[in-house]
Amino acid sequence: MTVRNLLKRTPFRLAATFSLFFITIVLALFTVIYLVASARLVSDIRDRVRTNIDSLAVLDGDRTFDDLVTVVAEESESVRDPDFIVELVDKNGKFLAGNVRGVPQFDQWRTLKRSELNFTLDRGEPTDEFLAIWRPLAKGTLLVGSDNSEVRQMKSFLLKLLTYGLLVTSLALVLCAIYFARQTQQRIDAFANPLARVSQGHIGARVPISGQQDDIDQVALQVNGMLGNLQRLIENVNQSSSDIAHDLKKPLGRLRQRLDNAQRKAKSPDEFQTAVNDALLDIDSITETFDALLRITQIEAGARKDRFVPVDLRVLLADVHDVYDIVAEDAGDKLSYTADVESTASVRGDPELLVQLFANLVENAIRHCPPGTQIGLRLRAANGAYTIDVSDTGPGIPVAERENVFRRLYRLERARSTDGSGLGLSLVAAIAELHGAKVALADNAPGLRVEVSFPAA
Amino acid sequence: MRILLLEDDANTAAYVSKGLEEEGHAVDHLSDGRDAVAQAVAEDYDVIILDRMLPGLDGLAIIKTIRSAGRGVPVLFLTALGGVDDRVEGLDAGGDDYLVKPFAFSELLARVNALARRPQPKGEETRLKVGDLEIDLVSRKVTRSGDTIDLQPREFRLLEVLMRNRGRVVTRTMLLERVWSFHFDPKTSVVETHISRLRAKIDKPYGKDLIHTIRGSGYTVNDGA
Repeated sequence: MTVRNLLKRTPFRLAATFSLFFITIVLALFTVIYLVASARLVSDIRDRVRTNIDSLAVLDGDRTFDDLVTVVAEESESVRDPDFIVELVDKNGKFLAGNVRGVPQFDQWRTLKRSELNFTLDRGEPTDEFLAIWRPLAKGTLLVGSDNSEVRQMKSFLLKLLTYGLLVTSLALVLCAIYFARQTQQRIDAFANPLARVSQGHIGARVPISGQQDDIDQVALQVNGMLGNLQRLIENVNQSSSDIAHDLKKPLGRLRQRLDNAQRKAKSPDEFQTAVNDALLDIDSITETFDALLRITQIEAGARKDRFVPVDLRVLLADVHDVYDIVAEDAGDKLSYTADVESTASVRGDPELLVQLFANLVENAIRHCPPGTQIGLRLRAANGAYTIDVSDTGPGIPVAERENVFRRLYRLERARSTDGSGLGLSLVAAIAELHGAKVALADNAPGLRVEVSFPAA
Repeated sequence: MRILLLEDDANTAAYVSKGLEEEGHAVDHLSDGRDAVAQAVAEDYDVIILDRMLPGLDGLAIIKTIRSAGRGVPVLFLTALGGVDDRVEGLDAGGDDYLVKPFAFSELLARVNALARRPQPKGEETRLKVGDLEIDLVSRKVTRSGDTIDLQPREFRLLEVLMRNRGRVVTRTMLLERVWSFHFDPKTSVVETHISRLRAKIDKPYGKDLIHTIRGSGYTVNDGA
């Protein structure tokens, strides 16, 4: 991987930018620490020098000036390893006492090197430096300076400490950045490879989930969900194409027989009329199958979501009950509706399709159950989500068949005698899916219970 | 009445034109969208039948152009099989009714008739009368031979749709759409059941039927005179 390639990788770029930024901040922080600490040390030394001068200046005066000269002279003598310098001169600049002589006078604080000083006694290191100041007195001028080696030591110690600190921090940062960049890069690569496989036609390939439940996992789950949908759609397309071909051959065959029979056997216009009417009904049912298939396909494509509006399920189901109440009654069944919800049961959806969903389920119960069946329509709420049960006391659906009935054009053995396309439940499933709702088939003991559960809003 | 048919499929166009002409209508047939707009705006038609998919100009664009030219002529548009969204888009664009292909001619005829004789928006009818049956759309009162008849809201709506189209055929599909807002074909006898309930209240006690079944087409309300 060349540097240019590396720079094009998002995790690396992020890590590099972040490291650089962090190192800059650490550097600034260290600089501030260094400056503040140095200033503090310098001011400590100045304080010490001032205290020293103040204690000597007490002796400044007409009568005690000679004592001052004596004290300064004694101090200069007694100090073995001079970590301070002192020089007392009279008004004319003549040397009176001190361990250095001939220091030019100056106003501000100044750092004096031992090599520049003229010592009365030659002691100490040539590299010593003194932080010194002249103080004018009544009868002369006093210089006091203190060795600043601790400042210099401290400064160089701090500088070393901070430099190593910075180096270690930077190294750690860069290593961390490389580690995380590599980790992320690997996960991105783990994404890219399966997707490349998918585009090569391996629709079953999936992005690995790390199990860290982080944002990348979230995206991975979404991508896998999308691939799953894609795979299902493709399989559906393949399945339904062959199903349609199969399913349409039967009614077309029947239609052909009917017309063939009419052509060969029908004698009277009435007989022809009957044959034509029957043929039209056959064609209508074929058209209906096509229509339902196309509707399912369009619903599954999901474009209708744009037109979702708030729908009160309580009212919608009351309408469905209102329409089918007497239809069930005429079929010898009883349709009841109970709404176990506090007030409104609002979901976002397409009212037209939702009516069709429940109408379909109720009609299934009416058509596939013997007279005397109790059909129940029940709306209940749990944790802010709504579930609708459409139950009947009919023959039910065997457990083994429950998955199959959602397949397009699938029909139960015993339902083959009644007319129907085998698309009703596929349509129900498609509408439910469009609304994010789940459809489950349960045993109503006896009978079937279809549970349509909407997700909590 | 004068009907403009915009349809690019020659077979369908011939089938529709011939059928409508046999019913005594004058039909102008065009197959190109751009010609159609000019014709629809220039001439005075009672109904326009418009295919959703036309070469030259999209059906929706045609409706919008006609409407923006200030033409309130009723438009029935024909949509492809299973076009779930076509209906809503067409009605939004200014269409008045729709029909999914393939269709039975009786269905087309019923819808064309219903559209054409729609009362002009000069004043809405509030009282409809057939024989001795009268309904008041404002007070929602139904009387026959002077008796007040109690109807469920849905039964009233069913009777209202039939009465608004009195003397004309209303198909089963039209009733499903207009009474129940069902845009699918129910597998049970929803319409038949409700019609029979309505008959039990409106017709049965009075000896003379006003609601008639037209076999293979739908229903009509007339006093048979």
